[in-house]
Amino acid sequence: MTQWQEQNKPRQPENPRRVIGGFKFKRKNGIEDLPWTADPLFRATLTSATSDAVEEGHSYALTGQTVTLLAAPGKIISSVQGRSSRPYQLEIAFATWTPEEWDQIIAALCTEAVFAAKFLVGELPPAVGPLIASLGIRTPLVPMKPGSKSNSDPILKCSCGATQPCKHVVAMMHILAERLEDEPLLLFQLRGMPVARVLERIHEKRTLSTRGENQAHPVPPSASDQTLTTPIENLLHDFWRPGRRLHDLEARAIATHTPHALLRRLGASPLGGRFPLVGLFATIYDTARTRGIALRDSESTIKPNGD
Amino acid sequence: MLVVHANWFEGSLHLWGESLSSAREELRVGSPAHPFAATAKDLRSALEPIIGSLNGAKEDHLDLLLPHAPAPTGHGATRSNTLPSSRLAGLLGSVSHDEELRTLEPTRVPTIRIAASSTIRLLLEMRNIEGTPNDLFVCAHSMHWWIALTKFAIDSVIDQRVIPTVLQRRDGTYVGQWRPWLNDNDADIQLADLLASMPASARAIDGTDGQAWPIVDSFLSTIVDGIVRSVLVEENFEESIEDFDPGVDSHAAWLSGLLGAKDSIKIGRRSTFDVLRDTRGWLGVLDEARVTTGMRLRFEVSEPDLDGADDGIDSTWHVSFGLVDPEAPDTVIDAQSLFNRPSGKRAGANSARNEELSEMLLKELARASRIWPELDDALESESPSGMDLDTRQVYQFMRDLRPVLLEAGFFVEVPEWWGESASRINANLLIDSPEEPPMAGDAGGGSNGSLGLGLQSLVGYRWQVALGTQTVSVEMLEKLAQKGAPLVRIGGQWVDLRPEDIDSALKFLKSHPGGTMTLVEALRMANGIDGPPEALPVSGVQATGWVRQLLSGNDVSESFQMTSAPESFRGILRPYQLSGLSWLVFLDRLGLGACLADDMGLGKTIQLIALLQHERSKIGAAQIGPSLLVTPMSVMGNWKRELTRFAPELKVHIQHGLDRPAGERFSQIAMDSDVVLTTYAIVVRDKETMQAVPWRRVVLDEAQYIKNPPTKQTAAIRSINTQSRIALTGTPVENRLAELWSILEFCCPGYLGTNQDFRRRFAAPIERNRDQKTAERLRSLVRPFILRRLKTDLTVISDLPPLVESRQHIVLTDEQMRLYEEVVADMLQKVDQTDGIRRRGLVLSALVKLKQICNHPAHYLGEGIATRPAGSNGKKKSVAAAAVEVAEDIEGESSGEHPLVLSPDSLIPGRSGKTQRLMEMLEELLAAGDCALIFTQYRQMGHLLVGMIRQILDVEPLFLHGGTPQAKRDTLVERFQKGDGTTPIFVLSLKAGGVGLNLTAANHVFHFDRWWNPAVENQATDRAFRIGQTRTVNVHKYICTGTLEERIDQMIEQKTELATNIIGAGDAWLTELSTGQLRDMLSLRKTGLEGGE
Repeated sequence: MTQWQEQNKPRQPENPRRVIGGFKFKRKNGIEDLPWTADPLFRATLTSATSDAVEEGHSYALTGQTVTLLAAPGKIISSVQGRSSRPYQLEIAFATWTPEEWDQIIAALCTEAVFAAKFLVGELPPAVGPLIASLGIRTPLVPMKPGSKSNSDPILKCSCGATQPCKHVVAMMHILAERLEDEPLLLFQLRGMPVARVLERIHEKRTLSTRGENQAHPVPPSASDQTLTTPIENLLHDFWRPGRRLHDLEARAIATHTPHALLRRLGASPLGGRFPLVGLFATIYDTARTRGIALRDSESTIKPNGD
Repeated sequence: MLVVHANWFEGSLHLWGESLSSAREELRVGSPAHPFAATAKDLRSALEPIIGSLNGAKEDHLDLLLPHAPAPTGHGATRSNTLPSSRLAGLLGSVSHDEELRTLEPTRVPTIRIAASSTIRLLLEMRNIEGTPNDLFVCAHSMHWWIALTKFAIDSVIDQRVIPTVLQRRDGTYVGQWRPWLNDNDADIQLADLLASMPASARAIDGTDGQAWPIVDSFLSTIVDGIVRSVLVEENFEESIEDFDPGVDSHAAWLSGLLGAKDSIKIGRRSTFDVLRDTRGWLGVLDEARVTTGMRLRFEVSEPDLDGADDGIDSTWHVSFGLVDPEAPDTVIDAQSLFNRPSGKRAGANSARNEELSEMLLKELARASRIWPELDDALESESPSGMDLDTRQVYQFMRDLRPVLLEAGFFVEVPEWWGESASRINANLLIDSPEEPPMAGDAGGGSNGSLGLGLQSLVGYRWQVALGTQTVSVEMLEKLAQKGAPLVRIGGQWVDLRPEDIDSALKFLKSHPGGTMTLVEALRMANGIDGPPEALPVSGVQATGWVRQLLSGNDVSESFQMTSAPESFRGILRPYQLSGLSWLVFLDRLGLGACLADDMGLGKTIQLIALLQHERSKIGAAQIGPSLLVTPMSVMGNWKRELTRFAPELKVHIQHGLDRPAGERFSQIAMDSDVVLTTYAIVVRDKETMQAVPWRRVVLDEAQYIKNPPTKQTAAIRSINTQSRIALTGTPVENRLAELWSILEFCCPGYLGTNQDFRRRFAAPIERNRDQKTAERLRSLVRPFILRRLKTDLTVISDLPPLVESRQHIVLTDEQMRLYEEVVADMLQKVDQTDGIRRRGLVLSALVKLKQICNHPAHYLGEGIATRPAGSNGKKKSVAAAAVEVAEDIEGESSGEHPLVLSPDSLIPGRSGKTQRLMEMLEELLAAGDCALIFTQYRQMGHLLVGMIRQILDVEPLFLHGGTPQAKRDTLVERFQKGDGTTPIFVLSLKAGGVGLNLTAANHVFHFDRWWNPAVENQATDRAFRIGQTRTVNVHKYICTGTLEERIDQMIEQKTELATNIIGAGDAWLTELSTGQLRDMLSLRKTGLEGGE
């Protein structure tokens, strides 16, 4: 190539164009210790990419070249800014579950209250993956076969035209992995149904089961935290005494009382009855409080013996 | 005596018990039935006299999973042995069995089943008797947890954190229920504490999964529903829905299950289901903040920009909206900038994010408008960024809405003066006092040793009313009252001006013109206790002159004239000890009592000795009356030694022993002495003799001895005629309220009111309701009279070396003395008749016996140390009968079966001066949250110590000895080093534990018996004193006064020639001594401290 030719080649800057406000990969541990929701897809992408793509994609992720990343049901639409003047357009299409498969899955997820409770706080218990597999559903919860073939999951496309996975996809996968770590329920969305809808359907399903036990109040978060209680067989050395955290509890200051705080948060009753419910509750709360104070301050009625 | 346990099963409380007497008599293998469980009848007869009739309780049984030890081998036993609970083990003095071998076995216990409706009363009664021992039963450790859970349930009702809910039962019926609302952050943290601390025994019901939540859930909802429903039934709330048809009105349907005695919801299934669904929707609103992820709405109230003179009543305030990430609430995206951000092309990548945020803001505003309906006005604008409010509205927003919004998960920022007591009307007490306090009897001012009038001194006082920091006059208040505005600006400062506050302030000023009163009245009033500013917060007290000095209390360094160390003091006082001395001198001069409560090891004794010398250096010994020093027997030896060492010129009389002087003769001796040293027991016994002396001062050492108010002892001590009183204690008195009252009642009689009054006013609110304000008031009330410095205080820590060694000189008890003299006499007689190896053997065995006697009579007598009786042969065996001979048990020389049970007598610490003192010191350091290593040469003594610690101090000590397998050693060390406070005491045998281990969690090291080689002891000390240790390590060496222990300690200390030969040589050198030398070495030397108890 002559010097002239070289000079007239369309000018490509050495570094990609800088993006302001792009998504930067900011994870503390870098790409180590990714959770089970994100790791398989991320690893598989890196394994099938060339080492150049991996390296450049990684540095793209760090400098924030990913301009947009939109998780739509069943796919990710994203754009990544490279050296060219416009960002490359990426479309990552995931295998989705059929409506029948979804029905099966929702029904299975309703069998245990702990799933619903965890979903409500945005957590995805690891048991969900095996549960879905156990239903005989072919497409797993976690995608792990990225590629450009029609049977890949997901199917990777990028407007740069390079062999997949290209560096732009690699960069985007960093951001996606980070998102999946924070919002593991996004996996449902990638399988075709918006997260909110999944929650709604579980809620409906659970409400509609008119058989068996059911309740109108949500379960408190600690109730489903299994790590709080040590199995009794591991407590043989300390079987009878309360644990240390009882002291913590007793040392904790009690917050100042705000009258009717719950009632005010609840607002008007949605039950559609005509009876003035909230007013009655206000009276009940005050009456009960008085009784509670009397109980708390009650002294022993029996005289202790001794001198 | 029974140990009473509780379990919650299928909606009712089951009480069951272990019987101490059957456990003593019949520790043997059993059937699935618990071998020493109390019968229901026994339970009833133990409980009813104490907590009242158990009407309605049913006899029942419960299948539990309880820890068992493996069956003894070789006896053909098939079942393992039920282990006693921790409480029973403490009473029995049993030694823990190897944990690795324990198993859980189904065990049936007879129970008394308490009806749900009686459960609250029963547990509250248990709460009321906590801390008041009785003769019939003790509560198992788990009871405290059940009481905590009950308190938590009651607090939810009091705090109105209770929701009405609907449950669908398994059979398809619907019921209404009141239950605590636990999903908010604060409640959830407390719930997590309760779940995590639930004892295994409370969950170990056979056939369940052992999880805490199902039991806690069922218990809490039963209790809460019980409280609410009972009051609703009593007050006939059901009447309010009489006129509504549940078939038509879904509210009435729902309420039908909530207001009456019956919980069922009575309408058709379809509509009942609607009630369930709608209720769920309604309650779901409460949980929104937690469920919605993402950003939260934040309100920020900004003050109007006003010039200095404006009273601000008609100004306009602004509340601006913004979004914050709850994880990083410092970064605020305000709504203004959000709506002004460019959208479309120019914004590029951010526009999508921007739109997302705007949407979130709108959603959050909608959520908040349910609580604050006025927000709807703001929402009508296209880009709502804030709202203008007038002063009244902003007042209402901050006072009423803010707490609710905060609870619902919103962020609300208000000006920082809001909520501060300084921005309210408050009352302020001014005390005028001269620089010098008035003196009793003369006007001279203390030059002849007379003291101040103390709490009875008269001081001038007047009240002031202040707004913020400005004092205001009556006229000013009246003017403000006319304006009727809730928030007013005065002198550029906003004040929360509640009309009721102004009223009470005006009334108050008119009825309290000021005058004179006694110091005790003034101090109590200044802390809002007596004669009170009605409904007006007291912001504090200002004083002049000597009262100001007094109030600055522990701030010794700033306000006190420092006293220099008395010249006669033979030693060096560390700077904090000098300031302690100055404080004692100051209070003493005023005629006020003092409680010096420095942490153990900071030298309370020498501060007091210096005080005695100080006053003599000022006035001359002849004019000063004697001080009476009352101590437990266990520390008398120490006092005597310290007095001799640091103040040899003081004349000390020890009032002790059977031939102690009485009446006139005692008075004469006392008046001729500087210090009279005696014990608590003698003071009670010789009350009249003591009362006859006009004491200069009474000092109580280990003042926690008088913690139980209504005892003869306390009354006797208080009745002694004295000019001043000082209490010394190492326990954190401020947090132990019964103790605090008793001690201050001694130092400053009447200051805290009667015991009953104190319980009602302080102890109950602080202990039951965790009332921080009352706790703070109490602290400030007692602050002038209590000085407590911790080893970790910055001022102290710089004065302290990293390693502080002290010797505890301990007096033998009568029993020990008798045994000791017998052994010595017996040996001296025999050695004369033998020689060679036999003589050496005699001497060595006598030595061992003497050391054992110094440790504890039971150690020497080998009494009551029993192995677990093998029960499979069907022969009952009482523990005492199974006593085994304990011969030499120095580590490494004995092995064999683990003894499981010690006889009750062997566990009485009072039989040995050493164990008595050890228990006292351990109690003190446990109260301070410290950890300790205890080294002994003898495994058997280790067992005794473990039993005593468990029984007396109710903690589970760790124990490592030569027979401990390696894996177990590692877990023991790990558990100790974890430092979570569950295992603060570690007993180790010197040989097995003296090397190699890293035990830096300990900051106290006890050498319970002595090894002649200091290097070995130092090595043991180094388990704690090594790299990784961050605190001062206190080493306590126990030495029995007058015995060979003391003799040898002296030789080692004085580095005598003999000592250099014997160090490291073990006991062998002693065997070479002549009979005369032996007599000199071993026979008990009189100290003047023996006998008489």
